[in-house]
Amino acid sequence: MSMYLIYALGGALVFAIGTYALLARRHLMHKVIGANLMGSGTFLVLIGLGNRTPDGVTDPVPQAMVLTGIVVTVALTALGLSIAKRYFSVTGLDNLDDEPSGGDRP
Amino acid sequence: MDHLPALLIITPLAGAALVFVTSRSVDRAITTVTAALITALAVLLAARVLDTGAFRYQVGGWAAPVGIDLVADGPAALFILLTAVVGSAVTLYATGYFPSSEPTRYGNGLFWTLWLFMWTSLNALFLTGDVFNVYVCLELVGISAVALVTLKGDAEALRAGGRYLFASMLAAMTYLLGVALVYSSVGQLDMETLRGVLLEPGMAGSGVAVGLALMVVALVLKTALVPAHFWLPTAHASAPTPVSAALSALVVKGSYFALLRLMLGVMPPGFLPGVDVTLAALGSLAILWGSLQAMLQPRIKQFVAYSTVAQIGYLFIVFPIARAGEDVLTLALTGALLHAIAHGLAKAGLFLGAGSLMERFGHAEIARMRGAARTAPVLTAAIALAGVTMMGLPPSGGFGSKWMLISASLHAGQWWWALVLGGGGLLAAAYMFRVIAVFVSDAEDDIGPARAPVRLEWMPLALAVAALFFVLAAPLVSDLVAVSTLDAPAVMLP
Repeated sequence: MSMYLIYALGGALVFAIGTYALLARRHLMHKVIGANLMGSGTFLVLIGLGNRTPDGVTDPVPQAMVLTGIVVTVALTALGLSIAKRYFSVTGLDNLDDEPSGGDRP
Repeated sequence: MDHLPALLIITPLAGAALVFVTSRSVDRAITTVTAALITALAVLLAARVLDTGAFRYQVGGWAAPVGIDLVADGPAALFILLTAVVGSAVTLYATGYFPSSEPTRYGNGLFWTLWLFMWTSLNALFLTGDVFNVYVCLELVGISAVALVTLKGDAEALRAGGRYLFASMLAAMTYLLGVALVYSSVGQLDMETLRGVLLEPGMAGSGVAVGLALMVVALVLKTALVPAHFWLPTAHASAPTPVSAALSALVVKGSYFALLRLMLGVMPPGFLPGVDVTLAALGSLAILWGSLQAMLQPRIKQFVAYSTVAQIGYLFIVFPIARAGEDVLTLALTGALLHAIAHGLAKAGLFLGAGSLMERFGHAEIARMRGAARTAPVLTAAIALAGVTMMGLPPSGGFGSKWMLISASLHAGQWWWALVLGGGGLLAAAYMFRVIAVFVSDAEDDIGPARAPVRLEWMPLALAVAALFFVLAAPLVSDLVAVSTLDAPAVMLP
């Protein structure tokens, strides 16, 4: 089993776990973490790729993609966390499924 | 002017930065000037593309594969022009909508910065010729759009923004995994190079097929095609009115355009078997489901949002028709782009009109807006005229696009799509007339006076009239489609 395949399969597994968390979990923090896991899985696949050139020289393009991806994920996470925090302080709820009762809760 | 593509991205970006650092009192002035500049640049780009054909722009002078090229072709110029026109109208409306006396309401006046950021990322998305860059641009659009949805900061807006954000994140990560798989199989990210590689024999491996399938799924989620539309109605309805208009008219077109480039510009015909028909079938379902839901919505902005869900469906019917042959492709593509643009203009008018009407009545219930045709004639006219485009009646842009799509589908021997296109018009008539019937009823509900400035009333009407007569611009659209880089060679080597 090549090194790349280990990374790719591991990445796919992490991605699947993250997808499950994002879709099935209701708690806002779980969803944010799930989305981050999906990102990490993808980054694992990409990092493994850089190692797969025939001449053994590392391919820099996947690493550049991972760096960009991390920046984007950080921004999305920050936005998600600030929405979650504000939502909790307005409604007192930790998930988006229950109808908020209109701000009269603590 | 060789730097037009770069200028179209830099200008709104500079405007956004400037708005952010300068005093609140000049927000409106800077945004309006920026909008005018972008519109001028968009016209120049369309003229340039018509004059010299599609061209590539090397950012910073670096050639692909080291640099990431921008691609300016006819369809890109068309969408940039649509964004400029609708964006300018939304900007002018917003200068009246957001109270200048209370700059701190609505997220501390952040609307102007976020709006110009969104404009920047949309222009970049239309111009990019690289699948990874599409990911970055989609995310920039998504982040600014989610922030704009949550501007009001109440529970409803935050909920809608949260749902939108999680749908956006799911799509983003899925798309990126797709890019990773494609790159692992073929080692290319530039769309034109990718198309060349996929046409070579033996390159259609399972890795690249799975990768492209993931990218298609992600873009479908971003474009809110049924059944992935769950996030759209709440997000578009609970945003401030100018934001609703921009989201429904422009943002869904961004991811649709990326999908168009992927499906027609990168993938050779039949590369992913069945995907064309599946997307068109879901599109038909979207027309049915969106229209039925629009009929049932008690609140006016939700009604408009579900009409967007329905209208998005038409955009997906083009795929199997376009693949039927070289001669049908241009006709089908022109029809689809005409629909995207006519819908963009009409939907912006409809949302701005609905928003203004809501402000004047002081509530959002359609059933309690009786007599609006007499008490708010300009807004009622705007909504009714926008409805003409939604239904696809002559002489509207909606009619032109449907006529082209129907004749393309008959020409392609796929008459069943013509039935869907015709039936969709009837459904649109049903949901529009339900609302119009309330407006023209004899009873009169209490309504507030017309709000100053007058552009809150006239801007929706201007957009609806533009959509109504847009069919006159059909020759321009076909000329621009003729210089598209989307039509992948029809032959696929074994």
